[in-house]
Amino acid sequence: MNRGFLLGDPHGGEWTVGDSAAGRGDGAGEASPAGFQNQPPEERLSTDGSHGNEVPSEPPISWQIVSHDGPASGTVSPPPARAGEDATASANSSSSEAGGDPTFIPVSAAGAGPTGEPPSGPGASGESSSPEATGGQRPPLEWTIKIPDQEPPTEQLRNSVIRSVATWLGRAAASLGPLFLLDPRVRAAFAALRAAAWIYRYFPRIASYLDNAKTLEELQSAVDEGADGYEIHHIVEVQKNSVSSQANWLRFRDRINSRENLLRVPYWKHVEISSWYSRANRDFGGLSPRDYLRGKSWEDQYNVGIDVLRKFGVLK
Amino acid sequence: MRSSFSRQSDEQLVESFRVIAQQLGESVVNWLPAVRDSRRLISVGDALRARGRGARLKLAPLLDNENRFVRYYAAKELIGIFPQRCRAIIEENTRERDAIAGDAGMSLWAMDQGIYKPD
Repeated sequence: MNRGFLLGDPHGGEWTVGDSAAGRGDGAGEASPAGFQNQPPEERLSTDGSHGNEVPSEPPISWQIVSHDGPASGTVSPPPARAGEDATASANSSSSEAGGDPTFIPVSAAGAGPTGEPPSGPGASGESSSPEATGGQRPPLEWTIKIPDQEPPTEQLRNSVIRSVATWLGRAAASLGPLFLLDPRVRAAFAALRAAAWIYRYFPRIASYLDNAKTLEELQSAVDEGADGYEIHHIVEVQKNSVSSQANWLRFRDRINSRENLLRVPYWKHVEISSWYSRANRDFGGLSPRDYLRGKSWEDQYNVGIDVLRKFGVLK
Repeated sequence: MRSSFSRQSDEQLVESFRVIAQQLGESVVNWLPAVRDSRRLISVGDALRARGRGARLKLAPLLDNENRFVRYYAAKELIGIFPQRCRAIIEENTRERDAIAGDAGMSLWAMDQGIYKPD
């Protein structure tokens, strides 16, 4: 059963957020609960893919971006993101092609009847069995994020809004599980998102940020599949801008772009990890991890790189 | 290298630490450049360390600060003095859904690996 939201595009065209956009087929539209990623069928009900061991495993949720005119006609896939291409530009392109305000339309949900339509009316939200309603210890999920009509003028303000949305959706998905799409608070959230067209451009990044951790093989295999909202990450950093003789791109020319070292990771996870490598850190004697690792062996750097991916919730 | 922080009083350093820690945390979780603030925070910590344990202890009230980022960075700075309490604060941050969670996870990892020996 497909559980998802349709992001309507009045000019036609359909694309799904995540791997299915890269041509995996409709089976890839299912995703894990803490986020909206798409996973291979055999992984969809995996119970050990939670972020940092803290997010409980729940049934999959996914969403699609489709035409108001119906997903069956005028199917268009967005161009896959290319390595090194600014993901915003890709997203902008998709947005401009779509034209008009995107809309989020629930198409089906857990608990839906044979027709696939979600139940409606009082009680349909299933709140009575949500963790909060049953006395769970998670914080309340009221949608209080104010999304400005116009895109904020600074990166700081814009990222703050986007991060708040991503965090809220992730928390809601983890908390509500299969009831996510039926919950009135989630519906209110999507209504608010629908009203702010600018955030549509960032939707692939929001969706990918909510991905659950994947296996190394999954992340490596995805490198060939490019998708909006993702970037290519080097486990052992390239340090291409460094002129030092200790720069990795000079020391490990034969391995730096090898399959073992390349992963496809969510855009903002990539930002978070790169930023972590850059910041001075008491844990590394006041140096940045990048400086601490400079000159260390491939194995040492690779092992740190793997642990970083785990701690940031990218790698199982 | 002596930073401008070395001219501040202990109390001023504690306030600088609080302000920078809050700014740093906000930048980290909002995917903004944070290198400069990370270096400034280390410099403040170094200035206090240079004055001895008594000066460092003046950071302790920040472990109860209302701001989560201030508590977190104070815990990283004081874990050598208050290991259990500070580790608990760092562990608490690993359960968040943002970049500080990854930072906190790697902080514990560095200690467990022996890369960082809290002093």
